[in-house]
Amino acid sequence: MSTALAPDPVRPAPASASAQDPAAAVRAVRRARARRTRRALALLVLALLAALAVRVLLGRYTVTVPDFFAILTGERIPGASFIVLQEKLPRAVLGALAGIAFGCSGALFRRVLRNPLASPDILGITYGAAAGAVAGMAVWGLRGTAVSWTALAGALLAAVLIAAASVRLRGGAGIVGERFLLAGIGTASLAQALTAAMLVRLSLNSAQDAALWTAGSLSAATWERITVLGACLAVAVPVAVVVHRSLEPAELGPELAAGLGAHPARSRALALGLGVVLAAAATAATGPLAFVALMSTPVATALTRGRTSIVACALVGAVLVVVADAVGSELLGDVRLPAGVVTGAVGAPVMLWLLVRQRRGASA
Amino acid sequence: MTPAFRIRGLDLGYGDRPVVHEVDLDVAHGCTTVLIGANGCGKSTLLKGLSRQLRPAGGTLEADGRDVRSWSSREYARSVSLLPQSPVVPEGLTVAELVERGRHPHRRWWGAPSPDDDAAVARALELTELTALAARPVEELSGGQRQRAWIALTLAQGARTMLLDEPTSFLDLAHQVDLLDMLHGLEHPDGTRATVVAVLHELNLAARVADRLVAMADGRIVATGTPHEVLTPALLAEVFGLRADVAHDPVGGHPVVLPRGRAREGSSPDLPDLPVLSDLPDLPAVPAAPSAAEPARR
Amino acid sequence: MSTLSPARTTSPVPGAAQRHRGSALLGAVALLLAAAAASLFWGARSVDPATVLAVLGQLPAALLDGGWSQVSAGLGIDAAVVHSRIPRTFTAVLVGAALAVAGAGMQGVSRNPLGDPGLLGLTAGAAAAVVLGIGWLGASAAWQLTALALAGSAVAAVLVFGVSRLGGGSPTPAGLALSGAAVSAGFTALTSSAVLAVPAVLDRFRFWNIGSVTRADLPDVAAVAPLVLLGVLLVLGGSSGLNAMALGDELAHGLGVDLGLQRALVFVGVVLLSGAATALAGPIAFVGLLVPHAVRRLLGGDYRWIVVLSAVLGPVLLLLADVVGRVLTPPQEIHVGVTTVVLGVPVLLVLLRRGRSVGL
Repeated sequence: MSTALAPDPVRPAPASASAQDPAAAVRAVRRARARRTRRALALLVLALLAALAVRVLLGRYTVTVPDFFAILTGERIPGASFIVLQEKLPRAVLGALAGIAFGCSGALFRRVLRNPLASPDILGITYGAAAGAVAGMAVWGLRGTAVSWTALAGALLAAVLIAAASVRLRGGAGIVGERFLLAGIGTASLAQALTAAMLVRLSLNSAQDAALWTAGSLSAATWERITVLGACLAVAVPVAVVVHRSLEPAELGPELAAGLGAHPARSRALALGLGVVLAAAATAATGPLAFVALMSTPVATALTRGRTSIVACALVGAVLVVVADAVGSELLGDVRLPAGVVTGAVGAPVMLWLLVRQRRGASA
Repeated sequence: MTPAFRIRGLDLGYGDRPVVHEVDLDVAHGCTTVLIGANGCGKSTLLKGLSRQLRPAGGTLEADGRDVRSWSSREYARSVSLLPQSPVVPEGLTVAELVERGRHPHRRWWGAPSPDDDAAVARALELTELTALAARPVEELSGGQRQRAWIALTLAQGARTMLLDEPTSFLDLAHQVDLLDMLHGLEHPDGTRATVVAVLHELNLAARVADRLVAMADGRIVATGTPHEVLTPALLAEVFGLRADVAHDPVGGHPVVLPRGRAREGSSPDLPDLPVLSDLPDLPAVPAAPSAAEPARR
Repeated sequence: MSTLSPARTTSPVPGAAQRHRGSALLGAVALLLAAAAASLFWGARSVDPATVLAVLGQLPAALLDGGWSQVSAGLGIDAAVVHSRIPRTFTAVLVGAALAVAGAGMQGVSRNPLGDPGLLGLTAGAAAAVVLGIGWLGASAAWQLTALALAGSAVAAVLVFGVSRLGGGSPTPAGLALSGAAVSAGFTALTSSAVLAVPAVLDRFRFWNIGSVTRADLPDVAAVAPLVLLGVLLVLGGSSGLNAMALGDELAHGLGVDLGLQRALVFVGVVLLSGAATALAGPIAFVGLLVPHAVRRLLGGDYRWIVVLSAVLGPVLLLLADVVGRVLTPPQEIHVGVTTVVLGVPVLLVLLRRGRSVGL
């Protein structure tokens, strides 16, 4: 800490702050923070709406705003109706939902495990889903929606494996963070190796499908998937918000959290379980969209200047996925890249920039 | 009056490794009790037991007359607060926000901070002289300021009993004295005196603030009583393996430990070839009676 | 933040710890010999041990003449089988040692027990370089892929460390881990887009992408061996610096350690090792994570011993995984990239369950 050398400004005391009501000063600090958070959230909501609008209205096939609302209210416009209702709108909505799920999941993992690498993509949940999907294609010859179910099974299996290695039921210690991380990375390696091995057994055509799936893409967006994922989120996200908030004391370390009367063991397990469910549900619908879960928390934290709000994380995730899908399918000329490739390609520099900025801030 | 803690035959340990054995102790409300002892003697473990982080492996532990296992965790946190040795600094919090985290047990899951919370936070900031730093990020504080922020968090918790594990680490001497005097004289908003149980390494500071000293060695309590009763050369040799003389502070009357060297096994704690300071004639003859010392301490 | 804690479990009696280490090293070497023998004598096709010995006897002559054809005609198919086992045994030894030592070095430099060449982006960099090489440069020869893998690892390494230093000061463990994840994701995106765009690239890449020790021939092994040796020596040279770094940068500086130099030594070593291993065998996960961890469990946190023992036990893991892959489903073989992880994950899980705590 470079500020350690500064003379202690408190000792020579009566500063101007003590002139006013101290409780009012505390309130002022809190309100300033709340204002900043609200502003960031409002900005993110606007960004998400803008991204959705761009995704649905613009691109290779543009739709005018009046036409769009006419289609929504049931009017049939030849060509446009089909493209909006079966292609553009489902992709945009599914992308936003998946982004919300990944963002929430990442925020929960990070809060519980207090490690910047703790996210469902590093810890093998999404790789488990990918392995499940490829296994469904390679071993049972499945296609389409059925693959989503084997993917879900793969993700949950990965979570069970991690839990088996890291959760101690006796002694009341609950989930041990370091063990969870290591077990997760081990599981990720296992899932990746199995995926690679099964990819070789497929015909080249199926291997291409599988590669598309493992990269993560919104091209298979259907209203059916949206309904399933939406129902999951409707239940899980409100719980996630409450659990995330109730875990605030856990940030102070296990001892102090216990001293504050929080139930870390119980709420930590709940938070990780929710994180797994959210990531698994989203991955089953879209494939593992690289980096969204890992990246949305630090981006959101930078936007709200410090304190992490899970709602901000969810919104950042949604914006990322929608924009990535728009870029991948519309902006690159003839090349069409799946959203998962774009999130990885865009996410990497954003993440690096954040890191550099953070270090500049720390050393300044 | 019910004691803050009533401890009978308490055993504590980690897994199958016992650390604290058969401790009997009563901690009275409104008192400052200081645990002393060599490194690894079980002071911090006892504190962990009192804060319910370790379950008793044997014996009974009652807080305010009730078995600690029968309390709900929030209820317990409103009554007993803990400052651990090395809490984790979360990212991106201001001092006021950090201190506000101490209000957790008073809050519902989603309740917005109440005026009570603000008042408690403001009072804690004032007591620790942090009011001017309320809006600063915790990461930017110096070590001593940060330690005071943690203490403020514990104060804001508003518990009648405070458990402090080496609260003076990272503080300079002036701040150590300020902090301990503040804790010693601390009154809750309802006018009752705070109950403090602290682990301290600095014996002379402990003697200055403690109403009661508890000396531990090898997981057992070897002496309890006023600083005068506990801080004797014989006990220092037994507990710390330290050859020391005990003098008396000419102003406050507290015992003052003057280390001479390490006691060797089997050797007498007070070697005759060293002058014993308390017997020196040029010292002002201050009566060491606790009754005389008591008012001077406030 | 997970950093290596400065507190280490040490044996109560120093002498006992040293004896323990010596016998551990001896035991590990014995295990290595046994595993190498198993790799030579066992396989999907059973071969008379006498034939194996006969072929092994011709090895020096074959190496001098530059091929088997002149020396071992007349031993039939069995000899050919053994001929194929020799390079793969050597490959497994080299790759295992390289990955395990690279993992140990990474864990030390990043002060993060999750440090692993794969996690810090080096493997992803190598894979991306190989894919681009296959797709657009028409690379196919082993030496070309080796050079590409090395170059890719190096670029990734420079990126990871460069970024983690950009803000000034020395890289923090968390910063390294994060920039590693970021660089890794970036290269994976590059690989995916290349693979998805050109089906032919996917077809070759998916075979390269499962780790296997059967690809390399003796000349390849001989070409890469010096790189591995150099890499191990570099990491070993920096390992006492790693011991000091485990105490934190400030304390290490106070102990008179040239942090920049030691870090650079280890880092160059790690790049050489992981690049060489990836070039010979494709991406093999997990060896770099598991082996140093297991050694740390056995012997405590002295990096010099972790490096030495990892160099011996890494090959053991890979050899055993390869043998298991050969005999499990004869006549088909399971690639070592799969069996290593399948064998390794349970070991890691058991280690995690049994240990009191991981040295985080």
